[in-house]
Amino acid sequence: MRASRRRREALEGYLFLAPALLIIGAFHIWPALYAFYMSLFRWEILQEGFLGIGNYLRLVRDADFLRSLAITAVYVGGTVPLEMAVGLGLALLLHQRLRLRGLFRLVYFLPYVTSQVAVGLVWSWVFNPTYGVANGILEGIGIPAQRWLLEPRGIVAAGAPPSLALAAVMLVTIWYFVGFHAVVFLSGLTAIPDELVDAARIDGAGGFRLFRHITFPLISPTTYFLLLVATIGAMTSFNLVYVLGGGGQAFGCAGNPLGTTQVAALYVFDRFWCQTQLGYASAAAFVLGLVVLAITVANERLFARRVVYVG
Amino acid sequence: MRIHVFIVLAALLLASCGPSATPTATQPQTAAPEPAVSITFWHGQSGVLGDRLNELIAKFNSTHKVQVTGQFQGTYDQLYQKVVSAIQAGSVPDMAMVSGPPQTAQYLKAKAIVPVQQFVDSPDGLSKDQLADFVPALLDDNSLPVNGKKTLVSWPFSKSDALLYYNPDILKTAGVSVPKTWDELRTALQTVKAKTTATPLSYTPDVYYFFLPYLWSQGGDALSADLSKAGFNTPQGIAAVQYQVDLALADKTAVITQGFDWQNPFAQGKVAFAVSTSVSRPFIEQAMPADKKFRVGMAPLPAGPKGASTDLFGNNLVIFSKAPADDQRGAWLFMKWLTETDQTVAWSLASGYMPLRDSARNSTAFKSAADQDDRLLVAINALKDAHGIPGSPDWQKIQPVLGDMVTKALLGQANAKDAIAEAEKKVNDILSGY
Repeated sequence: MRASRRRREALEGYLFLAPALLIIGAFHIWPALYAFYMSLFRWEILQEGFLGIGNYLRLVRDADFLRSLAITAVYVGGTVPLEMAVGLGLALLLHQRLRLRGLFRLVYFLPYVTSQVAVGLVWSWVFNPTYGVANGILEGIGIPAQRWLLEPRGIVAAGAPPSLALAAVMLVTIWYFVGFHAVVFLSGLTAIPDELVDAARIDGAGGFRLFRHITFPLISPTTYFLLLVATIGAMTSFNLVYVLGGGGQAFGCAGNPLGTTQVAALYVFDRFWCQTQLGYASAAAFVLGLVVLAITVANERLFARRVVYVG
Repeated sequence: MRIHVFIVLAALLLASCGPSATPTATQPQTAAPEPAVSITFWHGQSGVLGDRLNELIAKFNSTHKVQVTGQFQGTYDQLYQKVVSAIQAGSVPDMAMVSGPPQTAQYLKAKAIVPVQQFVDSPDGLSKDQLADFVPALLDDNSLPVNGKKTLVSWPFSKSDALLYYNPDILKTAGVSVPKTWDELRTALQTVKAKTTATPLSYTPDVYYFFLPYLWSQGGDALSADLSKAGFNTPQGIAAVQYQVDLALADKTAVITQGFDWQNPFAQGKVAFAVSTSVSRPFIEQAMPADKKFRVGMAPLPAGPKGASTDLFGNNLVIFSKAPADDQRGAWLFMKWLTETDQTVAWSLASGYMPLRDSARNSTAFKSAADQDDRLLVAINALKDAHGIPGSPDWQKIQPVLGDMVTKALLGQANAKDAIAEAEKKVNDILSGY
């Protein structure tokens, strides 16, 4: 009697899950499995010979792929911490009782709700070496004009990432995501119980000490969430880098100039769509997926224990 | 602008209504009756060109049992990506545009298309004389080796070639005449730099616009004749890179741009020379400020020791092997009709692409249009010197390597010789199947 009711309940549960599972299955899991299958073959336009792990072995020795991983690491390392720090700073400011607080919140969040492609196009005008605003400003203050998105030279050392082009992309990325971080941090800040803050104040804490011992620990679930989401997002970022790296231009496929903005996702795209190495690109996508997984696990190992939940 | 449109429309009207000067293709004797089939045609023509193409399709449909549906699929790159996906999924259209021999070679290698030759040779096909009416460079551009024999695999449709654009007013101020050789161009750029405030040359160092035409004009080539090896690590190849380095870094007469960024400054009268295809002219004219219009100058690309050379742009048409036999035949009949004298003249005058046949060049409609504007003939006269892009299925992997090679040299990151040697190694790795 009870068993059959439980079975019916389970059946109902699965029924409710079915639509979502179907979509995830058809558009995420099945393509992923099929991509793994493709990665085991030499597969240009059509399936050719079986290579086993041949594509993967080639990837490990492929200087362009390794470079794309290094560029991704620089990109993630250079954007995520800054986005989060600036976002938190803004959130703290917006948490004050400011005039026009609503307006500021809206303004900072605005980039995030704009299409990344549109944002990329606008910024590529800003950075255009011939008629861009960026060079106008530089020339106005007596600094020589730069080639910005066309400049493959490194800003730290000539041959090392980030190139000026990648640095410009990183700047736009930070600008784009700061609003998102600020808003999520803000919701974390509003969730801190007033009595804890008041108690701390009575105990004489204020300013930085209040932030260090009350605010920062109590928004740690938000910080942790943002760290995970932003890291995964940055590691697989495509749209902004594609547009700003000259994607879709007649000259070169993606990741210009000289491949110095070719993050791993762009490498996959380039090999898949522009060079039609479907099997090889699928292998690269899989490796990228594994790297993202490994870093997410590492993030959890490092930070999950330090998260404080107050409920 | 409005006048321009009017001229095009008038020419179109002339072309479609007026009596044709030469006989159009007639059906050879024993052709089977036309099949009543519906044909899906994936193309990459939007805007005004898309409208004109749809008009041509409608005209064909109204006079034929074969009914064609044209479907715009985005830019050439997007069109290609969709075709590749369609081949994976096994649901290809009946026919499609391809942007050039490398893509055709890929489709052929995957056995996704049927060589057009079999239809040309069929009772529906073309006689020797009719075939000889087509510009030979265009037939070459559509031919690839099949079983060791040169075979028509695709069919020409919208073709253009690379040209030298110039601003006659700036040239006049500088006292420079239109250069006929690469050496003359270099000197002309130096004079423009010395005597005017204009940018002498603004260009995107695309391998197609500059590197390949220069290389060919020196007698060099990008790949070996059998397309199995890199062929550009030669004195000619080094010269083709060095020439650009000289302009950009030594003379400082060339400004490097990205994509079509040279177009607006050129239209604003700030640039003396540019390199692009014959189809760029309407875009330049559209971008001109109303109060500062000038007559866009067009000339063939400069010549080297082995004469002038240019490369073919635009698109060709292919028929897919998965389509049923009747559909394939219908697709061929449509292609053949599309490139008959009347249609190729109409399409050429509407689009700026070149007429594909001698009879079209000699037709009244085209001649009277050319009388009004001799620039129509520049691209056509350059045709005899036109090369197709190398028909290697691996070209897509090779082209970015060549692009990086030129960019590296132009940025002074490597000298021409080293850049070429590095690229040669990469290209040979690609061609040996990694």
